Amino acid sequence: MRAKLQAKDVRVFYEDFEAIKGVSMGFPERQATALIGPSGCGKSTLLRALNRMHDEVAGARVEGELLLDGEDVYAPDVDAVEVRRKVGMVFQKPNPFPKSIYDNVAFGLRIAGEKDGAVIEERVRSSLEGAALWDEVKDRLKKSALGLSGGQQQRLCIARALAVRPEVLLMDEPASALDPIATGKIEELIEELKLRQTIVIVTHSMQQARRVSDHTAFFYLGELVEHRETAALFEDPREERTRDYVRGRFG
Amino acid sequence: MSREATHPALPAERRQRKLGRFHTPWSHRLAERLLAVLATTAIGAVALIFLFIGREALPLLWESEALEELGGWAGLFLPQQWRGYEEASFVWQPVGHPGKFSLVPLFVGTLKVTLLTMLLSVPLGVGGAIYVSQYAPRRVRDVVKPLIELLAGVPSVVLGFFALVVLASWVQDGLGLTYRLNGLVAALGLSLTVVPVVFTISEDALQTVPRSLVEASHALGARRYQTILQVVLPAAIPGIAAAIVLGFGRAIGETMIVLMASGNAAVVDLFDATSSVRTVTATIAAELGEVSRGDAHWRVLFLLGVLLFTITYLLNQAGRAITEHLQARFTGAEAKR
Amino acid sequence: MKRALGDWLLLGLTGAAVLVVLALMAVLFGLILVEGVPQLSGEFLTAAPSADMTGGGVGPALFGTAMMTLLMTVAVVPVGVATGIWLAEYAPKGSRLARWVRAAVANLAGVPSIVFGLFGLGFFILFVGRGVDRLFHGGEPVWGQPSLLWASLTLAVLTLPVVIVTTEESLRAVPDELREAALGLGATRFQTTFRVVVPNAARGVLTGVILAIGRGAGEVAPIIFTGAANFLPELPTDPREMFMHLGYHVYALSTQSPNVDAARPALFGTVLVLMTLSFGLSAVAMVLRHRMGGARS
Repeated sequence: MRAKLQAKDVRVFYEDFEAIKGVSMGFPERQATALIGPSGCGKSTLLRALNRMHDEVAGARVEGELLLDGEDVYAPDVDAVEVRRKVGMVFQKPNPFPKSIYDNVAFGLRIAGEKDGAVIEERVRSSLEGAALWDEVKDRLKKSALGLSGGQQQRLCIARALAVRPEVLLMDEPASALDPIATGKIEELIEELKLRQTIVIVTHSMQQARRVSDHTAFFYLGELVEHRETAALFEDPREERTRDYVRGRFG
Repeated sequence: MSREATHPALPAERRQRKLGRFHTPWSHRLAERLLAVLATTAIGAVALIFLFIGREALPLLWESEALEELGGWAGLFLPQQWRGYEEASFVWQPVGHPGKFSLVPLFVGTLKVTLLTMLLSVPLGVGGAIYVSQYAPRRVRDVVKPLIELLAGVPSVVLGFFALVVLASWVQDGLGLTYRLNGLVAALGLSLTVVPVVFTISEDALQTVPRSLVEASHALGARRYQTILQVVLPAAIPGIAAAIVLGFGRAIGETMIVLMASGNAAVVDLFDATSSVRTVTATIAAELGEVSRGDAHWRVLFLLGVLLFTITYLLNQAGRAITEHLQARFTGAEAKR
Repeated sequence: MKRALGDWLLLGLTGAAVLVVLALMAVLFGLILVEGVPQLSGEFLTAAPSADMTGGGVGPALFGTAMMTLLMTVAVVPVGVATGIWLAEYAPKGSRLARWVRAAVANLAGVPSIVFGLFGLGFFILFVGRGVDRLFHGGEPVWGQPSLLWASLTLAVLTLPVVIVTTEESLRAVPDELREAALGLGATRFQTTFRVVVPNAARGVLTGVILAIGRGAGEVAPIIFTGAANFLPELPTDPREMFMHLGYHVYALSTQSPNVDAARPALFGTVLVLMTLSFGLSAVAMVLRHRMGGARS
């Protein structure tokens, strides 16, 4: 199985603090990889390293190699903006722009220089369909995105990320701010998205990791403890710390 | 009795026994009433301002004699044919024979100076706010922001003096003008009072745009400038709009700077930035000392005050309404309806 | 990180905006210091202007400004602080009166300073002053003319919103836990307010007062018709007399002086003294406010 993304001894520092301590792992193409671990274990920090979001934070620094289709995204001549167009991201809390639903989805295309209205319109529709939101919003595309419910807003954010056709989609606890029904919809959606995208999802819910992911990586204090197929990791953990965590002894 | 012996009563306990157990002392209640009465002073002040400026101006409405001297309402607002002029025109020349009282040149002058000021201040104020809130390293921001706010504490007469002594020479030498004082010099001076207003409020508005929106934009592959222009700036628009309206109000009402730097000739030409200008405020300040109470001229100057008061009042209301409307739009109140 | 052309452009333009403003400020302050400081001397601060205002000093103007500011402060502080306390601590939720007071304060803050001048003339001098004269002085102008008193009261109205707003804000910054603690110990509302809340907000209230004084000391437009005199070498001995004022003196020197070049040194000296008084106080208030923000948060 081919790894779409390959981390090689990736380290993340905030000032002098080493938040990720030399992680090496692969993210298989068109599968979902879940990152789990107790709060503060570095799972979100690693996720943000995957599309160079740390570039925007003063004092944060990333070392090591991160290969996207074999090419190091941290190489000096690589533009972080180009990386982010290939590696999209959905955040913990829904964060739609205070613009219309349509303009939210079209945002990524427009800033990438797309001017053809017909292309944008087609892409907005297909992205909203891809995020299973089209039927609910097709009559109110010009209305403010802030009038949607929390679950709808999160699916809108997914549609917005999908519109630029990213090859990898990073999700940072995408359902943690939602109710169970909305969470169910997001999880169904991830199943669909896997057919075309490589998914990396950070979650604090072990049930969710089991339901949606093919591979799971367990982090503790900035270190990768164990990384295996999801079923194997949960049913037969090799490491003691993994076993304690998945059986609910801490976290 | 025996209790008193072992535990002497506190003053409050003694007092309470006298008045009944659960009453606040009357002196406290009186003091609290007094606070409420003093609080109405602000309302009284606004009412009195309107009343007593109106009292000097409004007799124009029924004193036909004074109004006649002005050439009627037409004399105030419509072009008049004066001897020595080729065509009917707007002239403010109260000490001429006959006195010419067209208010149009004064309002055109105020509008011109104010627009010029905004043309200079909005780019400087909003631009500076963008730099300080979005690009400047923390250490630079911590110095620059209070420094620009300090400018708001400089008395306007000092800025008028600066415009008169320094800026006027720069403009004259730079543009090769015959006369030193004109609308542009006044606008430059005014910008020094308007920029801190626009800057401070805009910077606050930009600063409060949620970090999550910025991250969403970056994650979609937006460059820094695209994020600023298309996400941060639109989200901060209510605050920036309020900043601009407030700055506008400040520019319209400012007196000393225009009085000292604008040249004070009432020329009606909205588009020539370097012609002399006489504004509403400068006219009041320069002429009121020379007229006697009850004259038509006196009443017109107070009428200018009433108009000025009304305009700035409406601007403040408009500013608040714009802010509320935009805020409603951005928090989805409209979509929920 | 890599920057696109658009980034360089926006960074350059916005950075230039800041530089332009800072450069203008540097010229303004630099010039006043360089040309003003050599004028300062004991004589300059105490002597009356002489030789067609090109010589002498700013004694009467300095004294007049100080007296005016003092009277203004005495008038504005009790009313402004009381209003701020009432708004923050007593105004019932959803009170119509409180809404009206706030609207009035916002409005007052936006009224142009020259309009305050018209108000001072129309209300204090022509209505109150002349009224008193008619009643007690047989119409002789004793109170009903421009004076130190009326100029100070006019400025008190102008600075009222500054004091109210800062007082209310600083009282609101006092945590509710303190109020509850005091009330829980059996303090009355009044005791809670004046023994716990107000002392805890004292620094903020003081900031507002200083800010108002700084603002009031430098305003010229409102006092042109209400009390400022062009040239009055004698110090006022009665609040019903007119007075010289530093700001008005700057205006007079720079626009009405028969010999502008000869008046230039005196002008710069006067500006420096005025700036020290008015702007200096504002700067102190700002430092206080920033310190306070740092300490609280």
